[in-house]
Amino acid sequence: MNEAQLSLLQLNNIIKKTVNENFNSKYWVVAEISDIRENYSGHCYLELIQKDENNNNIVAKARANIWANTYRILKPYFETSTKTQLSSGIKILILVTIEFHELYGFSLTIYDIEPSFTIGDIELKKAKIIEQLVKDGIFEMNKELEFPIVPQRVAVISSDTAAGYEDFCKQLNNNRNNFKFNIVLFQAFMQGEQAESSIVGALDKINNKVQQFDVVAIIRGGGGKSDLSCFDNYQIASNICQFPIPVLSGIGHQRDNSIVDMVSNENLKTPTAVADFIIEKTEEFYNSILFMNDNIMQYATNMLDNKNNELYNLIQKLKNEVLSKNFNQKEKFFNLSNNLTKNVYNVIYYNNTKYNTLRSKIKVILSSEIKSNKTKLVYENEKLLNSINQYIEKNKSNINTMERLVNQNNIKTVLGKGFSITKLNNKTLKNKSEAISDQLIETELYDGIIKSQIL
Amino acid sequence: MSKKELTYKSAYLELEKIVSQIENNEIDVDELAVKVKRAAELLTFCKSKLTESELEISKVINKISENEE
Repeated sequence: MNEAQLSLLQLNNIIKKTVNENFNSKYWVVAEISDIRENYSGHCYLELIQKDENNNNIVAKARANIWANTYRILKPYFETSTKTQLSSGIKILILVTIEFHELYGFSLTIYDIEPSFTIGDIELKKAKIIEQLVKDGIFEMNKELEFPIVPQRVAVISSDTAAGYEDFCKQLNNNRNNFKFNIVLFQAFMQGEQAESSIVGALDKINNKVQQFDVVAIIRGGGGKSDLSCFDNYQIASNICQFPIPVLSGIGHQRDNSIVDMVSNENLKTPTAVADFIIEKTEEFYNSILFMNDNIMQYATNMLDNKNNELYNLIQKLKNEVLSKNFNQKEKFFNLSNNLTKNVYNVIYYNNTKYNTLRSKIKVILSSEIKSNKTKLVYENEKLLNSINQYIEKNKSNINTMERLVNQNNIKTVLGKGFSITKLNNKTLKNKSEAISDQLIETELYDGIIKSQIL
Repeated sequence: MSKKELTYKSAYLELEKIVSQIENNEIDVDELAVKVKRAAELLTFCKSKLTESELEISKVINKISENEE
């Protein structure tokens, strides 16, 4: 027995030797990280586990480490490839050597990590979660909610220190229409182990006064590292799905959508994009009521215009009717007056003709009368002339006698005074030129006549 | 009018109704002024609610509901 006794150190050294001899190469091992820490010198210490796929019981466990010089290279490589932080809960495929230290015991030293395994595992997990949500019948529930007509009251799930939250508020408050938004922050861890419980907790708080909000915005971003693993979480996704008001996601990512993005009512890239979306919806509402109001005013104006036109047409029609009636009357009157004139003319013409005939007749009568009278008159005249002539003839000799008597008496007186009258051929000779030679002339003196011959 | 509290949605629906009534010639010229006034009221309500603080909103709502009574 004594010979067989070993000190613990001896035993551990034997194990160490055996391990070194039997596990002298490197092995690719699949494990889940259950704990991970960095120390001050840059070394990384992990606890790896394996869970039973059916009941999630831990069936294997091992410590592991990544020495600082390896960790410096591996960590960024892994995280850029997978967009996932090297953190507890993820499955990794690692290249390890097996170490046994007499003082610290069994551990694995990690030399390499295969990111594509983790990516695949995450996708697989996501697929399983989605499958579960679909099976639960809730996958589309939040998407199917009617978006509020104006998303003015916004519950925000974010960490208060995140630059994304600040961007969100700034963007929302500085909108061009001066819309006022009511923003209430519900703080939560947006990454890491506590993310699940704190996000679900925030959703619960909002749900308690859901009447005060129109939408929930889950936002994150502005931070450096992008660990989206918590957004591929069944609990969070399930809560969002069944949330009574629309959830907007703006968790900033480049890679495929997370499950939170998939189940949200609206999935936007960044917090700023969420703010823009809310503003846009509000503007849509605002513009549509402005548009409707414009329409109403336009219709009202048109209607008034139409009524005015109708009225105007009616007046015009009335006017026309009155005018046409008036015109008819006028025409009638005109015709009447025309007829009257015509009749008058006819009458006048008729009368004129009659008058003319009458006048002609009268003329004829008159002229015949005149003729007859004229004849009579001429006859009378002649008769009168004859009787005057007879009377003159009758008295002529008397007058001659008397005239001679008168003349003789006168001449005797003159002759008595010594004057004489010379007569040629019984005519008184008054001019010398009448005296012709050898003619016989008689010279009458007071007491007789002397006959003499011109020398 | 109903004494139901005015909301964005009810304002929107009411405006929509007025538009369709006018489009379908269901409003005669005598009703027109009332409808146009109501549309302006609804617009004012929405505008105020969108841009004013809560206190000012309640003033506007009170004013409009007074007018309705």
